[in-house]
Order: sequence, then C-alpha cells, then structure tokens
Amino acid sequence: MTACTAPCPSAPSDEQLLACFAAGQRQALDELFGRYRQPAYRVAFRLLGNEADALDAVQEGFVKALTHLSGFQGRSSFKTWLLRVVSNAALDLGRQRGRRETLSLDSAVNGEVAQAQLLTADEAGLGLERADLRSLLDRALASLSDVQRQTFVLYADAGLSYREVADVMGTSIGTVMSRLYYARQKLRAFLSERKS
Amino acid sequence: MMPNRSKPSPEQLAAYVDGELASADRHQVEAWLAEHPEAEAEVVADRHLLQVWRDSQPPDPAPEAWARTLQRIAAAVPPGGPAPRNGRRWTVRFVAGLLTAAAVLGGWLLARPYFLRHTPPTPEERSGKDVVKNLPKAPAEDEGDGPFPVVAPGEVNIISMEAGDADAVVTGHPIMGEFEFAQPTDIEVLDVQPHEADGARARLEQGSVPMIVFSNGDNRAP
Repeated sequence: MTACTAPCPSAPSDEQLLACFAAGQRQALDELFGRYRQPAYRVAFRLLGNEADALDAVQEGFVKALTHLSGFQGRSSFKTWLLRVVSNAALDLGRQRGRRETLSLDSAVNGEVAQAQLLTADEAGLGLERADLRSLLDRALASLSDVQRQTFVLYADAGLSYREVADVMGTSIGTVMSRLYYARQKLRAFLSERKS
Repeated sequence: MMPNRSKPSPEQLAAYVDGELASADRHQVEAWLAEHPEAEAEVVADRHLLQVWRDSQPPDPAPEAWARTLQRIAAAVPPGGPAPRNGRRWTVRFVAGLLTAAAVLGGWLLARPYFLRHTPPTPEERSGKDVVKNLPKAPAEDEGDGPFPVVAPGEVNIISMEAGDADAVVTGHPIMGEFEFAQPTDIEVLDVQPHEADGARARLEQGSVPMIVFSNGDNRAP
C-alpha cells in the first residue's frame, strides 16, 4: 500500500486515500465514499429494487471492502474491488430478504407517487413515466440469471468497461461479452413482449 | 481480432455498440455493416436498450441518507482500522491456526481419561457376564443366610426407572448363574456410600426390597 503523507495530497489517488485512511484520517473515507457511492448505489439499487436495501448493500460493501483490503491489493483497483463486494452483498441481501419483485409496482403507487407530488405537473408526469419504465426494466432484469444480471448492471449502471467487469467477476473478457450479449437479448425480448 | 470482412459474431456486434472493440476490429465491423445494412437494425436496437436503461437511473438518495450511510460505515470501520497487510495477515492466520491446533490437541489429551473411563460397555459387559464373573461369591447355603452382599440396604436409592425395565432388574435373594442386569443407561446412580463392612460392595434398594444392580468390586457405576 502507498504510504500516507500527512496531510493527504490535494488530488489523491485511491491508494493514497486508503493509506491515509489506514493512518487514521477520517476525511480519506469521506473522499472515497464521495467518489464511489453513486456507482455502488446504482448497482445495488438495480439488484435490489429499493433505496433502503440498496443503501444497506452500499454500507455493507464499503465496510467489507475496507476491512478486507488485502483482497484487492495489487490485483485490481479499489473501484472494481468495491463494486465486486457491493454487487455480491446486494445479491446476498436480495436472497436473504427476497427481492421485492412487487416493489416496482408498489413504488409506482406509493413512493414514486409521493415523490411525484413534490414536483411540478410536467416533472411529475416525467417522474411517473420514469418510474413505470424503471418498474418494467426491473422486471426484465429479474428474468436474467444472477451472473447475467450482475454483469449487465456492472456494465450499464456502474459504467465499467468490459475489462473492469471481467476483473470484478473474476472471469475473461470473452465471457463478459457473451453474458452481456445474452442479457441484452433477453431484456429486449422481455421488453418487446410487454410492448406488444 | 476478427478475420477480414467476415461476419462479426453477435457478441462482437454488441461490443461494437458498447465501444469496446479495438480500433482494427471496429473498422472491420463498420466495413461489414456498410455492406450489410440490414444488420443496422440490430445495432440500433442495442443502442436504444442501453440508452433507455441509462435514462431510467434511480434518483439519488437524499443527502441525509448518504450522511447516515457514511456515518455507519465510519462506525463499523474506524479510520486506522482496515485489515493488516497481506504478509502480516498470513502470519497472524498461521499462528492462529497453530494455536487452535494446539488447543484442540491439549483439550483432547485432558479429556482423554474421561472418555476412557466412559467407554461404552461391550456387548459382553452389557450382558452382565463380566459383572457376574467378578461378583463376590455368594455364600453357600451352609455359610449362613442373608442377601447377596452387592449393595447394602440404605446405600443406594433408585431415583427413576423406566417401568418397562422393572422386570430386568434382579431383586431379592442371591441368584446363582447368569442373569441380565439393568443397562447402564437405565439407572443413574446419584450417590453411592461405601458399605461399612466392605466398601467394595453395594446393594441398591427399591423400597424395602434389596436389589442387585451391579458390582465388579470397584464401586463403579454401570
């Protein structure tokens, strides 16, 4: 691990931040969290379908990633290591709690409507459309196998490259290509069935 | 690398849409697509799906929700608390493994005498043959009366017994020859007081009826 210079540099790398965090600097954790909370949350949300569970998975992922740092050192970046842990945590959480398949519909009726009430008329219309679309995509995503779902979400929601997805999944780029292709085929088939 | 102007595989076409092909492969796919415009629909459909997907991102949590999450993470992993580095970690694991193995071995050695004392009886022991063999010889008719001196009256009380086993318990006056004792698990001896006259012998009583239960001369519970 890179040694921490005190104070932490102004534009520190992830490794420097981790070193600073290991040296007891709390603000290093704030910075790491700020950098990666969004992709982590998006991945977790897609895999779990609701905000509360997604935040739990993000929390668990950060805790595990930081307490098992040796698991990624020298082999991948902190980002891919974190997203690997977060996506695994989300899948585990989904199995434990049972992915709330009906939540998409429920949220359109409850949460999303409540949120939409805070928006202007035009924005509310857009919000509900998005909620409906997300609900549909959630159900489409649920039709995939775990590995296809994880692969697709890491690519489409976390914005990882094929190489990075392969690192996260511990597999080859060829396998990632194949999984993404079949995931897309299934998603398109599901969506076109609903459309028709 | 794709063969020249060969049809790209569906996976390669998807990778092209995702901008994941190397420059040479990308040019080949573009050339092939130019010759096969009917395949363009596939490319458009893939692009559309990805666009729709990215447009439907969930809204970010409120700042307070982020702050709560960060606070919980910081509480669970305080700064300075990440796991030690690889080398040290393996050393710690190795030492912990050694200590665990030593503890298990030590525990087994300490408990060994106990297990040896409590080895389940062999079928022969269970049948009572050994016990009978080691019993003090019953007095001959002419040597006097009195119960078979296995357990003296008042030395042992049976606290509990399965009703169905009552017939298996030999009671009353001495019986010569083979007979079956109660199984070790049938009777729990809570307290055995040595006989005043002969500490190696004992007699169980049920009510006022003397009852032979065990004896191999060492006052050991069956």
